[in-house]
Amino acid sequence: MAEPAKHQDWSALTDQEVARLALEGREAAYRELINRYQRPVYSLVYRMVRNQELAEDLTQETFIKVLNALESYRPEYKFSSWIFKIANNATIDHLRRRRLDTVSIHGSAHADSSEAIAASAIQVSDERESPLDEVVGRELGEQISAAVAKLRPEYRSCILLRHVEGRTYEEIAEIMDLPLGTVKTYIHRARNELRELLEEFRQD
Amino acid sequence: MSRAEPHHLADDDFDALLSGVVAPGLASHLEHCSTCRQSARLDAEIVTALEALPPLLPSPDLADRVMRQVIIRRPAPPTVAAESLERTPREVAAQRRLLVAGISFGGMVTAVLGWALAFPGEALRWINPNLRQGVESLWAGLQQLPTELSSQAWHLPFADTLATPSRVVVAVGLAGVFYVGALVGFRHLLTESAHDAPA
Repeated sequence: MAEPAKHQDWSALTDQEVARLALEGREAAYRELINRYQRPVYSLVYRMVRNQELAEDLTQETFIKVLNALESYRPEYKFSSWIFKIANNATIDHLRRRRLDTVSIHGSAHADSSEAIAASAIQVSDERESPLDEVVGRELGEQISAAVAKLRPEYRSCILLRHVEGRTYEEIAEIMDLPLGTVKTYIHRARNELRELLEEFRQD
Repeated sequence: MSRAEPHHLADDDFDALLSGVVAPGLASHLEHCSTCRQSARLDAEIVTALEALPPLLPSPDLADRVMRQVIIRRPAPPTVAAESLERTPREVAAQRRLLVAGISFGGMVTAVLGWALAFPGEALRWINPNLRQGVESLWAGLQQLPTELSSQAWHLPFADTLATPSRVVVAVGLAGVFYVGALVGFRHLLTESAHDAPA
């Protein structure tokens, strides 16, 4: 297998082939893997933690872990499942440690001043999120994002992987190291909670 | 199919509705149950909104920050030991069979030659009469060989070099070093060529 001579030739290679080239010591292959997965990984992590700086740190941590452990990657599995698994573990571990999942979109419940509340408030209208109104309307997108942020981290991962990343139940089970039945239960519960939250938002 | 409430659709039914499967039973239930109809409508809204969420972009320097902390391991050139470790059991078995066959064949040839030298008359009787004359000539030539060699100009200094046992040991040692050096050099040359070859 030859290294692509031009940048556009990378697109012809599978993730497994690019990973193999990286293991041969080719820096361009490492960069190609980052290029392929930085958007989906960052998007997933950001929607889990709802904090730009933290999402950047966790995304960076994920890529460093993945690229420094490429030898342990087994090509018979999807590379995307592997990287999402590492990203998800890093994010959930962080959320459990810091209990950020309990932070309201209106600001931390533990903040003791109005400035602190404002500083900890989640920026749902981050400028790097494309305008949602091009598709279904900004308001609904914000409501959904805010509602997802209120779910338990495990429910959040499952619902984002299923409906944002378009992963199958089986892939989610592999990514999250959970039985298939548990994944289905989490997704059903997440959808039930989202229905209630969406109705609450609309009543407010 | 487990139902949370006997009169409403189960979670699996809502899954089916989201994937576009509307079984006749579900359709008729939705016609009569406003609660399930509302849930199904909300589910569709939620999923549509989630699927429409755009991918987000991290900082442009993320790749550089990651690459600064990634250790790129260059694979070590394959060594002779590594190559032998990489041989499959089938290759090892084939190699052993070849070695046994070679040793057996060499042993047989040596035994036959030894017997022929010990009993030349007997050996010549076994040879085809037409070939016998040629073999006898060859044998006579071989017997002449030492005499021929000793009459060469280079023989005297050569014989002088190997005149004592200590000189023989030194000469054999030097020849051995030369042989091993040549072998290692040749092997190294082959390994380098293979390593430089395009992937």
